[in-house]
Formats: sequence, structure tokens, C-alpha cells
Amino acid sequence: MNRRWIPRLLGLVIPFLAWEVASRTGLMHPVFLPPFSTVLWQVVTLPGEVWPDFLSTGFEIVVSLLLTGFSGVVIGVVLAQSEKLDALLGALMWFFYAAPLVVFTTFFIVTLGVGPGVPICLGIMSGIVFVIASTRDGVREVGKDLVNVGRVFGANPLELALRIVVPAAVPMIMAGLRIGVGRVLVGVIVGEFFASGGGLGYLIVRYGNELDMARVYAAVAWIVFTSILLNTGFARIERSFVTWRPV
Amino acid sequence: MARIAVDRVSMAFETDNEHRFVLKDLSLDIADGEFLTIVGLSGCGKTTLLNLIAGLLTPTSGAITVDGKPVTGPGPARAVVFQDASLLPWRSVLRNVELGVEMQKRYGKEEIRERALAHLETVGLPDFANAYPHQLSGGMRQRVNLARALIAEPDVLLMDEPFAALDAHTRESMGYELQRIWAESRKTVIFITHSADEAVTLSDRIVVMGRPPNGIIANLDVGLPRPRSMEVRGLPRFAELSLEIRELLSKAGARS
Repeated sequence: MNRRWIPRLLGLVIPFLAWEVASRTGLMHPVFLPPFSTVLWQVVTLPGEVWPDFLSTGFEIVVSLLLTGFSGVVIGVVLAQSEKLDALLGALMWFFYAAPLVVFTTFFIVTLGVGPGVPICLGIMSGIVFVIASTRDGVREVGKDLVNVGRVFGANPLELALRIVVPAAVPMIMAGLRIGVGRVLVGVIVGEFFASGGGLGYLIVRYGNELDMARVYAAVAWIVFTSILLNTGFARIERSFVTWRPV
Repeated sequence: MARIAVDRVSMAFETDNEHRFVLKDLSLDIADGEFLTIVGLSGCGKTTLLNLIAGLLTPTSGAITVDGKPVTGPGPARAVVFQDASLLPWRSVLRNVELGVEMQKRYGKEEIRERALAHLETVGLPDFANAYPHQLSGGMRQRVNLARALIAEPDVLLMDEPFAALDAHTRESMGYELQRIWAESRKTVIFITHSADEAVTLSDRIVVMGRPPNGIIANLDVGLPRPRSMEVRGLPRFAELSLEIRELLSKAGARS
């Protein structure tokens, strides 16, 4: 333990204390900014109150992450094989990257209907570009020597990809996944805002309409927790994958 | 055992819309169980020739046959010991050796493991099976590189300057060890180096390559008794051959 925990703790305590005081004294209107203690209580009780929404958001995140990771890596490996294909699909990819997510919600609502499909798709669309791009670059950087090793010892194209090229690109792929994870989460929540009958994003909109700000902040807090959990989880997975160092 | 025939092979690489010939109408025969060394300056096309025989490259014209069968790509009869050890950094030493044979579907998992351990023994690394490449010295990595090629049980061993990056002492002792392993297995070996002494120490025959696309400028029989140890370097024949190679190389270099 080092001594940084004291300023770190103060960095959290002081703003929360100021928040509590501002709300209690009426400096901030308690409807818009309920006291910190009230919000904290909601954070604790919210999962018990609306557990199906927690489950559906969790489900959407997991499905979205799995699909983003798997298809992102596959597409990235394919794009790395051909400059022409990359040029062809690259423009489309950057279109997705540059366009604000929300513009696709209407399209997904029309095609998929209101339900978990919309947040899942928005999650994939938000995160996949990062996985594709870093996989593609990682695969391209795999040395010709390693590829030749595979060829000399009889690897067919699939074995070459699975035993040599993808493992060699794992550090880059993991970096892309870690960036993608945060985006997937945002995509899922935004999707829930607009087009689902449940989930934390949906709750934020509903509570907001009811001016139940304490519950809004509690839901936001849970999203932040999830984000932190996913980020540290992925950082840990990344490290465990990359115990070896490049020679 | 395998006899290799390189028949009027040319290899051109495309650079800025023009063909640059690295090899032109090169012919070379290698006998069963022969230890042939190719010596040449950097850029003379010796690695290209080795990659052609390995099947990693396809010649622009001409043909290469191993035991009469044309080379159309890499095959299990020819294993390469790469210049840079090119081990998979995420695999342990043992798993790296296993790579040499696992994709041939010749043996089961258990058998592959046993063979890999045996080959680690052969190259003197039995205690490093679970180490990772980054934990090994350059010489040890090259031993793993060699074990990976040997486990494939090839008829031909293609060695591309495998000891070039090692310090002089390690390099020499690796040479004698290679000689021992070769004497036991009698594989056909094509060895590439730019060291005249290493060539004379190891080979039955030495081919000297000039600037591209001149190809082979000399074909020398070594004729020194085997097994060879450090003392071979004191023999007059050794000095004579080594000098001859050096003179050929410096003449080839000066012609530019």
C-alpha cells in the first residue's frame, strides 16, 4: 500500500460531501440534485427493485461483446489478407466509425423492432471498428519469418491463421478489444435509451421523465461500475494472454 | 535420403516495373547425404536459392527436383533452420519443437511430446523444455530452431546462416555439434554462410556464389577427414581452401 489512498479518498469524499450539503441547504434544487445519501441508498436498492432490467442489460452486453470480439477478429484477419478488400471495406468501416451512433437507431428499430436486438446491434457497431482495425494491423505486422515457419512445417491456411498469425497478433487484438469494450457498453445503453422495453438505459429515460433523479443517478452509477469492471477485467485478461514477450 | 537437382533456375523480383534477376540459369546437384555449403556475399542470392529449394518461393523459370519429384511448395521432406530462430514467443521451448511435426498428423499427441523431449536432448537442452524463447540465449534459441527442424524427420535440412548471430566461440562449438548430429542422421544438408572457415569446417563440398546474377563461381571439394574437430583448422588443406574462398569472395566483391 502506498500513501496515495488518502488524497484519492479525499478526492471522492469532498465532492460527495459538497453535493450532500448543496442539496440539503437548497443551494441546488433537491428535485434535480437529490442528496448524495438518497442516491447512495437508491444505488443499493435499485438491483433488488428492477433486477430484470439489470439482467437484460447484462445479457445484451455479453452477447454484444461476444459478437463484437468474434466477428471483429474474423473480419480483421480477412481484411489483412488483401489490400484491395481492405480499401473496399475500409471506407464503409470508417463511415460507421465517424457517424454518430444514434442515427442508426431508427434503422434498427424499423428492421428489428423494439427489443434487445437494437442495443445489441448498436453495441456491436460501436465497438467492432476498433477490434477490426487492430486485428488487421496486428496480423499485418506478423513477421514473414513466422509465416514461413508455419508453411515449412506444413500448416494449411487455417492452421496458419489459428496457430501462427492470430496468436502472434494477440497483443494487438487485445488492445483493440479493450478499447472496443467501453464503446460496446455505450452502444448498448444508447440503444436502450431509444428502443427497448427494458434495461438500465431504458430506466434512465423512464425515471428522467418521472423526474425521479435519485434513481437516474443510481442507474448511471451502476453503468459506471459495469464499465470499470469490464475495463479492469479486460486489462487483466490482456495481461494473462501476454505473459510472453516478443523475442 | 534425397538427391536434389536444381536445373537452370532463374529467379527475378519485380522492382519498379523491371525484372531484377537474382539468379539466372543456375544449376546445381546435391548428392544423397551430402553436406553442401553455399558461401557468398550478402545479396548474392544464396537465401533465395535456399527458399526456392524449400518451396517458399517459386522460380521464374527452371525446375527443382528432390528425388526426381518437382518442388511445388514446402513439403515434409525438407525442413528449414531459419537464420533468425523465428520461434513462437508464446509457446514454451517444448511446444516450439513440437510445431515441427504436429501439423503433419503423423503421430499422436503423446508420441509428439516424447519425440520433442528426445530432440531437446539431442541438441543439449533437456532442462529447458518449459522455458520460453525470451528466456534463452541466442545460441540456445538456435538449438531449439534445429530441434524443431529435426523432429520433422526431413531428408533434407536447409540451414540459412543459422549461427550468424552467435558469438565466435558458440558459433564454432555449434558447428561441431551440428557435425555430430549430421553424422548420426546422414541427412542431406544445404548450409548457407558467409564465413569461409565455417564452410570448410563443416562441408563435404562448397559452392561459392558471386554477385547476382552470376550464380556459382566455384565448386570446391573439401576432402578433409571426418570427424573434424578444432584441430582441422591447423591442417594445410584447411588454410588453403579458406584462403581460396576468401580470394574468390573479395574478387566477386571488387567487381561491383
